[in-house]
Amino acid sequence: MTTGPGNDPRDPQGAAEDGENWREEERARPEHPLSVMLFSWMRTETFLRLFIVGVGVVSLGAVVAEWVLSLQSGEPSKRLIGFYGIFGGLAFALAVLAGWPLGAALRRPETHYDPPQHDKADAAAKGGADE
Amino acid sequence: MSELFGMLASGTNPGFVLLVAGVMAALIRPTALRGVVLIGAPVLALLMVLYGPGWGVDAARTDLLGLQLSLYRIDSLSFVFGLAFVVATGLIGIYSLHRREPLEDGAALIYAGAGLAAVFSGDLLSFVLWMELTTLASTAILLSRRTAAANRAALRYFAMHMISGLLLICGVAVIAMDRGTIEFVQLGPMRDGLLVGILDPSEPGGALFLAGLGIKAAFPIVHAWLKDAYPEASETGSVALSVFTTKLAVYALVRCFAGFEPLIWVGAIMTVFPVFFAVVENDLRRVLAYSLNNQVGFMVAAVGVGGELGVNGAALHAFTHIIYKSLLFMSMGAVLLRTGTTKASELGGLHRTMPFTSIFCLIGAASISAFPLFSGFVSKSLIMTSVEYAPGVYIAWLGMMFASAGVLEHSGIKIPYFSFFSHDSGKRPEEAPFNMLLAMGAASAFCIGIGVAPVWLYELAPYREAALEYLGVDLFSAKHVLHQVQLLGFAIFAFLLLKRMHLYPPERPGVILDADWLCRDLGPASWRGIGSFWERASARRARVSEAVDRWRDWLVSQCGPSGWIARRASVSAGAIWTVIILGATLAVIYGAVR
Amino acid sequence: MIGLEFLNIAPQRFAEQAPALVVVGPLIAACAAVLAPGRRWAWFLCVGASAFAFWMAVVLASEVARQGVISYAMGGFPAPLGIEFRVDALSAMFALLISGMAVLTAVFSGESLETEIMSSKHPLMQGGFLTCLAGLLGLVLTGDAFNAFVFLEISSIGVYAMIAMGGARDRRAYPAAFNYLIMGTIGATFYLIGVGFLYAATGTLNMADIAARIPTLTSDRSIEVGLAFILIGLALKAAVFPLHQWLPAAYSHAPSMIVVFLSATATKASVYLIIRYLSTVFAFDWQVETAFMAFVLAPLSVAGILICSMQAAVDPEIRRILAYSSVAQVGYMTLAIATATSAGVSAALFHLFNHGVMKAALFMAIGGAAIHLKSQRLSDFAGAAKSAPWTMTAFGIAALSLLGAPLTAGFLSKLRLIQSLVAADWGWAAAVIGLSSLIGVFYVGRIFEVVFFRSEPEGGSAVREAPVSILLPLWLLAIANIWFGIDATIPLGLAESAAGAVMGATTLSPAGAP
Repeated sequence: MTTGPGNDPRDPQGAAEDGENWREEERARPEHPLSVMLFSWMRTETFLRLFIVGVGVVSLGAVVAEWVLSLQSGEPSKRLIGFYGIFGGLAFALAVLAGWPLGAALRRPETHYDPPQHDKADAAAKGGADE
Repeated sequence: MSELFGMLASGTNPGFVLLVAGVMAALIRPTALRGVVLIGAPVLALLMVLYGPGWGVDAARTDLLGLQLSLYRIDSLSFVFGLAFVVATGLIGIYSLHRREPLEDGAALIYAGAGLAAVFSGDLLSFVLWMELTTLASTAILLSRRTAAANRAALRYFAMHMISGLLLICGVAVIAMDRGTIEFVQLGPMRDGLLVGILDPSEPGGALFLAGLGIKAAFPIVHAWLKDAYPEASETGSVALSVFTTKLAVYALVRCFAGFEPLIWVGAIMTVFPVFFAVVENDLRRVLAYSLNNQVGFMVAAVGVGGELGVNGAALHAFTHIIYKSLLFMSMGAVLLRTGTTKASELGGLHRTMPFTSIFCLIGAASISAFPLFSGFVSKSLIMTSVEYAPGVYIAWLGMMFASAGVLEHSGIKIPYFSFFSHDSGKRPEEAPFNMLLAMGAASAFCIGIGVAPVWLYELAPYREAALEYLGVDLFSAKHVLHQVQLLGFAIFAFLLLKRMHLYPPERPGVILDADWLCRDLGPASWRGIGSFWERASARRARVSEAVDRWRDWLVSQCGPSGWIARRASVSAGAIWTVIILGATLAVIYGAVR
Repeated sequence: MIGLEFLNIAPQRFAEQAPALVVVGPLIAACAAVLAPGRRWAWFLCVGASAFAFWMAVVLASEVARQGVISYAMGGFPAPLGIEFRVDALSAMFALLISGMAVLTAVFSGESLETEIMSSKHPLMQGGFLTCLAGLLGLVLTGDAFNAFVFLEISSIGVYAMIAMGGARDRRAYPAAFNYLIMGTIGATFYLIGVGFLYAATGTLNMADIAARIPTLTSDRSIEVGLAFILIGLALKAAVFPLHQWLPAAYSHAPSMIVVFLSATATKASVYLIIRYLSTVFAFDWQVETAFMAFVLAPLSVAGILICSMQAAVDPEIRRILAYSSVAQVGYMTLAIATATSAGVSAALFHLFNHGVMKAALFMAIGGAAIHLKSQRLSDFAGAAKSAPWTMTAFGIAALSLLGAPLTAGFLSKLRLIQSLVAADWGWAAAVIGLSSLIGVFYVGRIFEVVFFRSEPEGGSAVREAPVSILLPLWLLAIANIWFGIDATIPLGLAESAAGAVMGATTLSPAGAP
């Protein structure tokens, strides 16, 4: 059983308060060898570019493969070739871009639902009517 | 020994074992001993499920005030759900070994036991009664986090589920009066000896039951409890919560309303709208709650289709979903444990010191996004196919396609990306404790195992023949796989492009308004609005809210010890009341005799 | 019938006198207790006399189960001139409940009185308790209308005195006792006036005799007026809303011991008399009665259920919460009785039994905690489950039962109540019970939140684990709550045979019908 900062679910903030110390300790913690092996090379810009190209190639390849398959089988395809790809890309973009207006419309400060300070006593009284 | 086990397994609902274990776990202080209970009980329950009585037999009947209850009945439908519950209970047991919260561990086991007992109930009343117990136990899980926010959420959660429980109880009562029985009675033809679609939602009893289940399954508009409560539980509590309540509702929907077409539309809406909320939500566990809502939507749609394909889809998707969703909640639980937060705006770059958790989270993300060779693909395909070939619901199918891309966005990318990758938050937490890694590893193994060898899962399907046929012909057909690869590939491509073009909305701290706005904002605000009508002269917010508070206090005080009612409780008032009642009685009696 | 028949080992001649002994035993012991040299002696006497009464009650119950109604002529003077003790299944059930609760209360009283009452007054307290016990037992066994009044007064006098004795610890007990005295006297007087009317019309005081003569009378208003007075007087004693005002104060300020006993038995004995008059003395299908039940009893019950549940939901004192809940529960019983069906009466009796078991456990747990905690404010029980796990777990079980959670006795009795109401086509009344259960969720939930989930105050909770002599009866009751929630054979058997005994002969007609 390890005890670490933030280990106590009752007081996640409290843990942060009691120490710049553990923050220091945290910064000092070296990267895990496994993550060096698996993930560290992903941080390069080259990899990112290659990854984008790779994803694009795979996706387009899937469309081409579908086209080839439909030619081979001879029967007409039920939907447009590449329908799933186009739909998926557009749907994803729509969902993500909707985040801008929705965030503006629906986001409130984190304290939005916290009981107002001035009637904290009332809120407590509501919970127990006995304070 | 084996005879003893045979006796136990043949007539005892495995849920009871978990219930007893739950009580024990709550009382046992030594952590090691509690660990034995937490893991031993699910193992025993698993054996009991596997070596239980024959399917479709009422193995334990009892009489409750003249009502015949069937406490233990397995068939191919309840078997899938029961198996998933037991496996999940075991995973939760391992996952919570490091904790020293006997009360919470006990509540989780009781929650699981009640859920299991409900699934294996052979009649409507015992099902509903076990559901009530799940409500109590899950509220206890929430309360045992012991933060003010969790307590408030627990109260809201409890109120919502009491309403749902009341609807269910009333539904059963009405059904019992109409039919004269609470047994499962098949409406229409039965296939493969499986009782599904046993209630008619156009009857009052069925409608009440559907309404109660609707709340439990988090149908649109009444879904807010889900995203409200689950993220407030502790790191283990939210895993337990994510497994049972909604899936019990799905089970009951299959059992009672399979083939009720409007459910397709309800399900489609359920899959679509959480996508938007999940995009803007900052708390990653809340994102997971939205994603849970969305996944349950897929199941509900499959229930609406009904038939062999739909029932198989709903049941098997519930199975895989239980495992990959608990895997995701477990990975976020590990993050919460180690960093104290799951807010996307405060996380990032954790893969440097939590590589195992990152990998497990990625496996869960791939599963929920239905990548081929992961478990989500295996079960979601059934649902998508069933909806695609259902007549007249093309729009719903398109909506669910959209939602599939949305799942990839919020669960497949957002969850792992913002916690483990993304920009470096500077946090260098320790890797999760070994028991957590073990639980996540086991869940990951399930996800990959099912994805690679789906026959293992399809063997469990309620309609086994149909499932195996689908597996042989459709599942891994080149066309189907290519379609999925296209969908996911282009979506990921879109993500990369949007991210590079800085069009991806940044994660910002904040609270996202949802349908709970109705009761948490609009309600108080309208009171304030009424208050401001009176206090227009000084429309200061403080004054107005004082009026609201006064009104509430007035109601409380009138019922309270110094209130209007109590003040009238003096001796003289008592005497006067006596005389008044006597007068009324005499009047009534004279009226009756004349 | 109740699994205790093995106790029926008294010699035949002894058993024949059981109806008298069950009352006389505690009465003699009461005198002896007052004169006892020390508090230990008084306590032993108290436990012994209660146990004796319970034994006799078991003997009676098994005799009744064997041979039907037992008629016992007090002093050898035959009815109708002499006083007749008439024991049927209904009386036997109440005798069992009352004497059984008395045993548990007597055991509980030892440690509980220690802190609450000056030790020199313990014998008085125990004497009062035994007087009350004798009165209640006589009340449910007698077959004589006037004799019932006497026993009603005997039991009440004991109670008044005992409530007032709480004044040393909580001065609010004095006005509570005084209020109860006034209200109780009004109730008893009303009852007496009613009996007077009946006597004037029929010329007899024996209940069976009255019942036999009423049909021969031609439209005598005095019978109807007598009925009204009797029922109102008893309703006051049974704390039917809005005649319950004495109850919350009495329950929240009296010594724990008497509250435990009262909550489980006292109002119940008056409910017994109500049932007795409605069914045996008069006939349920009499239109006067159906009108009374449909237009007076049912609306009052509904009002009581809802309003008192609300009051319980917001009250800050834990004992008063339970007291208000008791009034609401009495409402459940009278509501079921008001259906005038055999199922309704049986459900009411079933709930009455279960409610006795759960409320006694709740008050006993509070009493156990009160040994170390003077305050009764709910907030002072914060985190009590940590410092007194055994006491508070039993409390929690009983509270769940009060809420009507499945697998507890409370659930079954609520189910039974709803069944009977639905069967009588009173669906709306079943809805009222559902609604009040929802309010019940709030007050029980509030208690749960404070006791189990709120963290302890600075310096630890003042609540300590209760001593063994309290935990023992407390856990017996807690286990009974669960046991009767799983296997309801005993209470259900008692309730059904009791309902059958009084409802069997009468024709059942739905209330409101002519």
